[in-house]
Amino acid sequence: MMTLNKTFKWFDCNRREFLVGTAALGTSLLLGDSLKPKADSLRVGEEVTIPTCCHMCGGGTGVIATVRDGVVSKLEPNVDNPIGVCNTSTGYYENSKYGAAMCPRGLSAIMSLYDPDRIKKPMLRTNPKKGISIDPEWQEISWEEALEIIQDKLKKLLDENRPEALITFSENSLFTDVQRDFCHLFGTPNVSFHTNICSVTRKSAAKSVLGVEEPLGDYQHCKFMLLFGWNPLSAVKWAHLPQIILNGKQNGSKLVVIDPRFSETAAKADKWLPILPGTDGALALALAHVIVKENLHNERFINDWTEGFKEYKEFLTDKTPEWAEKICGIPSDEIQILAREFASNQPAIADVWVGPGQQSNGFNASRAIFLLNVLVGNVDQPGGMMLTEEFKLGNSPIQTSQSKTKRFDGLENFPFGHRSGVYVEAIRHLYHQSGPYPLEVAFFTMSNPVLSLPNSNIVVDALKKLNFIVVIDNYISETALLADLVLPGTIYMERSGLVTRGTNWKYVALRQPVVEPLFGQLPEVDIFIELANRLELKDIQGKVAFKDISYEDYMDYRLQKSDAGITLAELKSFSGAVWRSNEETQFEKYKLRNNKFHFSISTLDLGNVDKFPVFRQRKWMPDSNYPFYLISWKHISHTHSRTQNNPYLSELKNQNFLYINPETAKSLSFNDGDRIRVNSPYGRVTATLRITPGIHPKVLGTEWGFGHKGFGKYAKDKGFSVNHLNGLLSDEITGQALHKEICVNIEKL
Amino acid sequence: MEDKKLTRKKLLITSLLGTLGLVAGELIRSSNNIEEESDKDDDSSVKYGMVIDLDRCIGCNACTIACKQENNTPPDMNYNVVIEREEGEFPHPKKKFLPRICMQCDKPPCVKVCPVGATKKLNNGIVTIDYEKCIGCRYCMTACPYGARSFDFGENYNTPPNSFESTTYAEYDQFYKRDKTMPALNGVRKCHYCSHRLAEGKLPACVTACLGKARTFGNLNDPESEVSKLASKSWSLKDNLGTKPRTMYIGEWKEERGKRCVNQIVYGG
Repeated sequence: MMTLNKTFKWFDCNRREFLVGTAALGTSLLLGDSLKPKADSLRVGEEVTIPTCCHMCGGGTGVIATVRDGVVSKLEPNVDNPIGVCNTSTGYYENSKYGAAMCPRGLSAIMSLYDPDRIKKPMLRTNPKKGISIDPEWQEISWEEALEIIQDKLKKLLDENRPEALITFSENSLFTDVQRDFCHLFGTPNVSFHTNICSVTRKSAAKSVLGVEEPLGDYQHCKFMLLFGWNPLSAVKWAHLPQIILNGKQNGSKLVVIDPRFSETAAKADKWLPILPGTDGALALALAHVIVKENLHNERFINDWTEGFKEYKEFLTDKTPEWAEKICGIPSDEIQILAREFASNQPAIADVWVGPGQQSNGFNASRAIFLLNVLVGNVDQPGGMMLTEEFKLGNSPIQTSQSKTKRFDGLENFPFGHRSGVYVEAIRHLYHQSGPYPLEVAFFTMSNPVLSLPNSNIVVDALKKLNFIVVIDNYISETALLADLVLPGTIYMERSGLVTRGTNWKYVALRQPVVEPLFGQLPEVDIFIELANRLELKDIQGKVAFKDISYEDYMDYRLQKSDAGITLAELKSFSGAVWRSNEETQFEKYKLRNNKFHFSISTLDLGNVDKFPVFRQRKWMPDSNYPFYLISWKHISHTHSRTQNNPYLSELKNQNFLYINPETAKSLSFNDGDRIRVNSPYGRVTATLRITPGIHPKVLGTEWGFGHKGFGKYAKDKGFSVNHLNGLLSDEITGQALHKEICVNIEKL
Repeated sequence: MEDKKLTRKKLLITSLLGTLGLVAGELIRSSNNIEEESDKDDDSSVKYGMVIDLDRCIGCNACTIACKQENNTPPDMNYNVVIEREEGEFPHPKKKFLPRICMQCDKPPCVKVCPVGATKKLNNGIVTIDYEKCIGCRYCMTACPYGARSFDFGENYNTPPNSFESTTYAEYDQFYKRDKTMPALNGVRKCHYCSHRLAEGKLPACVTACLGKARTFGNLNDPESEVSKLASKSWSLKDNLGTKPRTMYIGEWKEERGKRCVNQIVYGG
């Protein structure tokens, strides 16, 4: 009678002792006299489990999906995938006996997959007037019609010999591989993706100091964690982050959080130091000052493996704790204590993410923070800041050459710009029509700049100047409301891809479709492959590039040419559809390569880049008219502005509030729950006030991602977006969008 | 029209709960004192239990959502909730998270009040509900001092329900569908340690997903099990009521387990 009798292979490897007892006993007990089997038990026809990788955010956490009778009925963690277990091989073997983990967004994905508010058919605008509150008067069209329309628009650009008039924007790691190939084949240099509105400052600063773009700390094995503007226990990207940080803590590590807001990570910290926004750089320099002054630095490491220390030491002379206190508001004696604790509890990691990073002095701040790891010599060793190298897939099978035309966004003007481009500058040039040439056609794939770029109003007006906008998305996003043609996108359970990021050892995991695309839609990569074929785009040998190459072939080729040297079929057949290298996490890689770490930047024409991480106040500071800093953060209940229509996640958080310190509220006679107006020189929003002791008195803050005017019933008209209050600002060194540099005043409604 | 009805129904229940809740505590205490249910018939070698380490709970609600998809619970019904509380003053605030599931009490107040014997305490420690027997009277919801039980009004997140909401799902030893002919609708539901998963040799969904690895589950009859070791230093919610929970806690709220904490625990999901 009992119909539940499967034991999963992947589960056998953990909690073995427990299972031996339970599997047998549990069954017999449940079948005992207490619950009699019912005669009308529903029978399950077919049940299969398929390993894949989550894509509710860019983290790519391992997933095992259960499909019952063709319906995805369950998502569970995949212990074969390091993402969700640990970022080092040693930690992976320690942790995997407790299984993997998945966050609420990943677990909610089934409700996104079957969300009735999803776009199901291609839709063409019939109302030529564009605006967020203007009905586009969509007309449903067939895929064939939609592709023909796009093909004609693109063909026209080719015929007129101005392929650079095409620009593409996309969510990171979604289909950047094929997008890049497509753009190169087409002849446009304008390939752009998410990173520059996220964490380019961190990447660029890390590159300048450590030589790698995305160093990942070995938190499980360190003795001190000093986190600046990073909330890994809630802004979870890789599902193993909370686990490894808590394991580190349980093993005796101290945790200190520097943040204007008492974050979920601060809630677990030994100490929370509320800092004024945009002053982390000054604090980091003062910490370095104390460490050097008190001779707590790792002299041997510095002598052997760094350059520029002597000058850096000089530079630090006047960066005293007293100097920093005046800037950042943290008492000088606290700074001294922190410096001593950091230096004497080795291995100690100092890390930074987008808090300081999304402000106009974020590059230098992040450099100063990364340099703390160098000062104490805690680089690329167990418990250290690792020199992470993403596992490299083989080159694309498509042989292309990059367009020689200048980019529209002027990326080359940013000394530490990132290949993801500069969204803010692309929009600015579009708005002012100041680019090197006119743009005509834009693709936005799972990208919603109207809600994800600073200053929505300018973004809207800029997009109106495009001749033809194609949006590929799951919902009628705010950007889709301005589109000429909308194509239904896929949820990760309907698409393929290879995931290699987020660990300090080599792995590659397969994202594979768990169900066929629900509405017969083409997955995003296939749209571009199809268009490339229809336009007969040719590779450097003059052959139609994608003629006989499907995305599966494409992945297969890159896998075979990688260090893994496996086929796609082999990867599929591996337990959990994951290949993990036999080679364990490598430490002290810099010794093999004779790499040095840099206290100064001196090898290039400096331009506006400082030789040392000089502290300057950010450009936009509070004044008498706009006396408050406004910051925003991500909470684990949502990813960016993408998941607000998920009913499960909406039940966790369906709107954002404006958080205010009790003293500040009192001084303004505001009460909890008051409806207020938030004003900046750029715009205004209405918000509901929440009083919390967990925020700096000079700072107001809110959760990111709300304030939709598009999407569906669970997301629409809930909360507000800070991007109505921003200037369209980017960092001049890295091109980073400055989401956290806003000043406001508030008034009662 | 139907929506209105439901709202009224819910209102009625809420106020009922409020009134009865006042006397419930006393009733539980006295009934537990009078009626000593011994374990002498118990010959099972497995007694399930869970210990939740609050120092490792980050309030992410992965448990809440893992449970929702596992047991296909409708809007506002959560077998698992995470109660969040912020207190203290700037710059020394505190943020605390308390996950609450069914306590699977050894002296379960809900079992006694069920007029039809639909709620039972199994030898393996789990308190179950027989959906076919449940008449939806909701006495048990009032009796439970932890707010662990809720009533399935048959609502869905989507109208009509989407493919997942209307698909087959497992609970206890059965497969169900959210279909008016099925017994789970118009009945009381609650956490049962994912007993259908235990039968498969799996851990409860909340334990499997937990981002902080705060939950330890296993056999409390085995003194060598991890859960037994943790249980020996654990505490329980509202232990003054004598309900003898099998879901226990270790970690930061310990010092507050007295009256203040008890009053913070709310009814319903």
